[in-house]
Amino acid sequence: MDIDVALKLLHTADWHLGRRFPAFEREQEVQLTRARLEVVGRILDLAASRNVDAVLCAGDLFDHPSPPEEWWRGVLQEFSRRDWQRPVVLLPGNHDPITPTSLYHQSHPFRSGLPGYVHVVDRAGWELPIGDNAIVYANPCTSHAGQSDLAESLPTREPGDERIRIGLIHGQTFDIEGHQTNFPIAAGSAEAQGLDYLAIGDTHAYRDVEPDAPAPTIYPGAPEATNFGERGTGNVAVVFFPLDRRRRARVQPERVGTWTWRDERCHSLVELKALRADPGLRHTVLRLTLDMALPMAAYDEAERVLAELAGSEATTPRVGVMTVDRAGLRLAADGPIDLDESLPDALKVAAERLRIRAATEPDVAGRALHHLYRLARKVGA
Amino acid sequence: MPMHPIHRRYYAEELVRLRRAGERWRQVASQRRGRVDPNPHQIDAVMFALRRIPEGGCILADEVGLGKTIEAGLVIAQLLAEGAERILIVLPRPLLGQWQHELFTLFGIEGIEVAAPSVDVYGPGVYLTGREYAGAARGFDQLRKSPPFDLCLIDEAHEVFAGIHRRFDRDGVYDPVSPHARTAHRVREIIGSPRTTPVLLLTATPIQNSLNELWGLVQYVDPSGTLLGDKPTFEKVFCDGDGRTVVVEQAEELKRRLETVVQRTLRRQAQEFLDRPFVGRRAQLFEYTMSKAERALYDDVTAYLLDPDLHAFRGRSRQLLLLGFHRRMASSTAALAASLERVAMRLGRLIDGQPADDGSFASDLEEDADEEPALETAPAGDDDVDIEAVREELARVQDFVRRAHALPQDGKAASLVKAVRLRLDRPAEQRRMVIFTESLTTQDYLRELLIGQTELRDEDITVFRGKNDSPRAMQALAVWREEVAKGIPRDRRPSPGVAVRLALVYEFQTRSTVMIASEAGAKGLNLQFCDTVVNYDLPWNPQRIEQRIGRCHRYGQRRDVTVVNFLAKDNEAQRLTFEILSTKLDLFGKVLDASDVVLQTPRSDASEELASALGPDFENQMRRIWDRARSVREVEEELRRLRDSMEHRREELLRVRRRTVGLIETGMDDSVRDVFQRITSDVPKALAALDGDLERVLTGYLDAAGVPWGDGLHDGRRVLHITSHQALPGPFRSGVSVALGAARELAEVDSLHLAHPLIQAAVAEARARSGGFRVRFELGPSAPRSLERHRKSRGRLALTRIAHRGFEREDRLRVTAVFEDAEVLRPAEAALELLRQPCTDIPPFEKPLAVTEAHLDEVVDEELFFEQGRVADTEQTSFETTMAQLDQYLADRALVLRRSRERQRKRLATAERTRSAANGAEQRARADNRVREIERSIEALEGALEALAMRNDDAYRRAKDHAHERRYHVPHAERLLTAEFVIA
Repeated sequence: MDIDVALKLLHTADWHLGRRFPAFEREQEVQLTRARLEVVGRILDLAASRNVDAVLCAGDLFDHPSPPEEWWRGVLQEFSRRDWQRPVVLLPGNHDPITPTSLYHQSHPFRSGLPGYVHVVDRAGWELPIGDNAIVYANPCTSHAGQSDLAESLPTREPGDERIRIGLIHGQTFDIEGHQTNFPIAAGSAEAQGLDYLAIGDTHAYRDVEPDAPAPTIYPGAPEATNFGERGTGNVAVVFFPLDRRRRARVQPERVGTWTWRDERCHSLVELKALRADPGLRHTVLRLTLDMALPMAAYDEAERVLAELAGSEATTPRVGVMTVDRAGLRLAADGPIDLDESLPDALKVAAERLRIRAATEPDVAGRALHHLYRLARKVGA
Repeated sequence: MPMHPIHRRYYAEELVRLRRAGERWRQVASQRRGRVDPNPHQIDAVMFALRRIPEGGCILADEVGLGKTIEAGLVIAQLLAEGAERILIVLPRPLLGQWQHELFTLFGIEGIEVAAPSVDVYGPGVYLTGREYAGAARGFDQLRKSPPFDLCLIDEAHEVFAGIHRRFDRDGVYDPVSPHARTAHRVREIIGSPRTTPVLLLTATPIQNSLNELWGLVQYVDPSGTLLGDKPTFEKVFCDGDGRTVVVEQAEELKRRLETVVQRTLRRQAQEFLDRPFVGRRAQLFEYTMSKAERALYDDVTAYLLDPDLHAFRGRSRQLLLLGFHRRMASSTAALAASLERVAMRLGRLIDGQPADDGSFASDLEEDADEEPALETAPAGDDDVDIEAVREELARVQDFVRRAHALPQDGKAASLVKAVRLRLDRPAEQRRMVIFTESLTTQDYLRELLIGQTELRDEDITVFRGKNDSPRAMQALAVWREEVAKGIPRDRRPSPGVAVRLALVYEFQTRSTVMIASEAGAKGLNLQFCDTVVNYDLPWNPQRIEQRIGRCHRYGQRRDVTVVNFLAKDNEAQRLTFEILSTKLDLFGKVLDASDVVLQTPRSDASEELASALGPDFENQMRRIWDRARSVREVEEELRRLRDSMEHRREELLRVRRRTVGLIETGMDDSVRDVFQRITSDVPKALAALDGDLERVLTGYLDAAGVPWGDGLHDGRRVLHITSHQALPGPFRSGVSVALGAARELAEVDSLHLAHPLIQAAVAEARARSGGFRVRFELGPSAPRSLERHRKSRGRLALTRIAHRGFEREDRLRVTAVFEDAEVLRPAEAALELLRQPCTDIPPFEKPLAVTEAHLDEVVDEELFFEQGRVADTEQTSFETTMAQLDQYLADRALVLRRSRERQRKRLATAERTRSAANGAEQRARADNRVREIERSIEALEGALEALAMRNDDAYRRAKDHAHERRYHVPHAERLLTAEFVIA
């Protein structure tokens, strides 16, 4: 059924392998960096299942030009597991530019360990035919920053050239307002250079940059998010070029990422409990801010829920990676104090005094009251 | 005008394509095949099971009485309809008949019993086997060598299979030669290790004694072993102290994980959705007094039986024979007399030097054959028989026989007559009662008794036993054949053994008032039209008592069920036994005396669980006591001890239950209600849609084949009357009537379902042609506006079936149409609409089409390329859920390692303090070694943690690779038809 008449591509970018996440504890950080490597396996599996003709990786595959060995070794393992004919093209981006010391350089064991079907764009004016009817043109980043438009120097279409022409570069399109440009890409580049598709990388969200242009310019986005607030991450682009050249290439994002980064602010115990019920927490990076004043019993309950989410010596964490800002978690000193009737009168009197003082000194008296309460509970138990 | 072949093909393919587990359509398809109207909770369970089966299976754990058998039957029917061929059902042997009966009557599935190596288990079929047989060397060998099964279903799974955990050692490694849980091990081997067959476990009580048992059950349905992790990790992460209860902080987490594999509905949740709500159960106790002569005989015979040196009970079956005798004696004086006569005969044979005949002893108690009790091997002492002693014993027994025959009517019989008369005074529809006895002799005796001493006549009494070959039974069969069987479609007529059982139940339901049933015979009968169960004698196995009551106290019963028991006032052993059954196992609900004074109220609502957990031990203890005791006093003492130990175990069990039951129950009745309500409102629509599709495919086929048919109404259902025609498949050539709609309570006509031979014939016929079509589509009034602008356009179209076999198994149909100007008809729904428009064949085009086959191929290729993306959302969700489970598995293991590291760090601190305080070189060196040792251990733990963080774990890697394979499975596409077309 799958008569190979048209061209199929998988386009990805911005893997950011080897990225550090110093804001998190060591084990959590390993989880996140690890997630970046695991998505590579899925991208390649997806390419195989769609039987694409080529995989284009549009830059920033590594977070540094020369990342620690465990990361590039991991990528090599993923490649060497596959006995492929379809080309995979790796483009150096601004995070991993090609330099004499980078892992893309001929002398680096990563480069020399790559199987034959993996190609590195290691010079300006690079090109690779795909079958008889398509060709990829690419320009790599050679430094972390640059002001040149790498699309401009892609060759234009010669008269009579009927092949599917694909551009592959890394940089920033002009259309993001207020965005400082590094390796700028001019609007309309695809059409200007006579391309049928311009595969680009840098922005972490999937974006069809010029949806009305005859040739698509696409950011596939990062396949796993790298920070809070990023939207539209977690995808690659799958592209189909009809043999009938009157039709535009069809592009669809497809989800490969498994992690979500969430910023949550909880204002009540109910909200906190609702968060706990979320089935997707295991693959969530959660930055939780608490902003609530709770009566004592509810305060304890909130502590229990937090322990369940973050994990403790007794429990497996529910959330994959979590930080909590608990400065806003306060004890509501005006609530009823559920002290055991059998407590000595002196303690009851102390509690009552603290409660009155809490009206004027909520912080100190509230905290003291809280400790008293917990102590009483412990003794009671 | 007959339907166009293009449409016939499309509608046939649409009818039989594989649907997603969550699609209501898929579930109602199996419902139509069965003769049941499932309740919402059953439908919910079936959908859960269908979703879980590709993952390895699940545990269906509804509370007792909610119809797990129906759920399982629906799942089996659905899998068979979707191409599964071999299904294995492993169950307690006594339930086999019931399963066979229900599969047949409710689903038309004839189960094949596997109880001997001679049964062929190689072909397709639904095989039922007692777990005892599957666990025995013969059965194991036979089943292991057979081809793999598509599904293995294990009923009452907690009883034997939960013990599988005992075969895992301290390191969590499975021990194939462990002496524990042999049956569970062998069944595990039969279903494949590594696992190939998905498993459905049925149990109302998945947590009985310990969380380890629950862990054991989960191993059957989670082949990756990652849901709860390996056994040592599970114990450390979840179990508290003795392993019976969960660590409080982990309760929510464990509950959440169990929801993945356990489906459980409680009676209170199902109640409001049942058209016949649950009824109560109460027991009425008739106490009677033995006459002096009766009492004396009873005491003398008991004393005789407790004598350890009897000649009558020697040899290999001593224990079995003796215990059977005790039970018959407790049944009736008639049974006692008959048994004594057999003993006398046996002794007579011994004197004559002939071999003893064990068979005649056992024959009175039918169910012995089912129980397969371990026969205690006693040395055969027959070689040196002391003939004089035997003669003495014979004289003693002959005296018993004489006294037994001389007894006037016994007290228990008089009580029964009283109880029966009380029932007969009630309104007609409430008079029916079923009387159970273990003894066939008692059965005959009671029949005579009731005819002689009550207004009941011979025809008012149905006698039911394992082998029903009496002239009365044959009469009942003849009536049933005349009144019922004539209407049963040929392919559903039961075998003679099943037919006579159905006939006797029919007689009891429509003509007679009393059924006197031997227990083995009544297994599996549904007597919900009768509300009184009389235990003339009580089996020692509480689960059997529960099953007796369950014949009437089951789904469909409209009135409270009364259980009548008899108790001899001055028989302490009998009283103690009854006390254990009623107050320790809560078997009878509220107990009243003959004048309805409450004697005892149950302390828990857990009778099924208690019977299931404590029953087997109770029975064993009863055997032990009656076998070993040497005096009545000793028996009584032992029974008191048993009563106290049962009380202790009962408390322990209920304590565990209170702490663990929440783990498998959703506390939120509201959300359960929402689900059930949605099902209740969706199902009728889905059924109507299915019926419409079935009718369209069938009538399309009939019209095309030129078979005349008409329609009418029957019992409110639409019926198609199909005239005799050669084109019809074999059994239907002489004509047939088929109904659309529920098959339940439908006698004269067959009802249509997916696996019906007429539907299969229609589908096969529709598939006969796939190409060479050239048609003109006439846009009908319902045609979408988007098609309007294509009037007069020509093009090519293709119908393709895409088989997705990733996390979800689904066949999708896709229509692709491309016009001459290269425009592809989009969206895909518009192309589908085009195919459904009325069409006619046309001659070849004068001007050839500008769009070629190759062009169409390319467009189909494009559609297929993006097709995977269309299911990607749900596939990705399933993938993420699986990966999250795997990460959780690693996180559990990391937690255990971190705890160890924490402990070692504390030890290290102490060791370092010791070192600082050390005096002298030797002490210092020792302390130094200790510190280094701990440091090395911490280093090893950190290495292990790092390895986990880097995902270096075999089970993880295997499961991850498997998940990848499924997520990125390449769907198989098959072109079903192509056509050239023009739109008018």
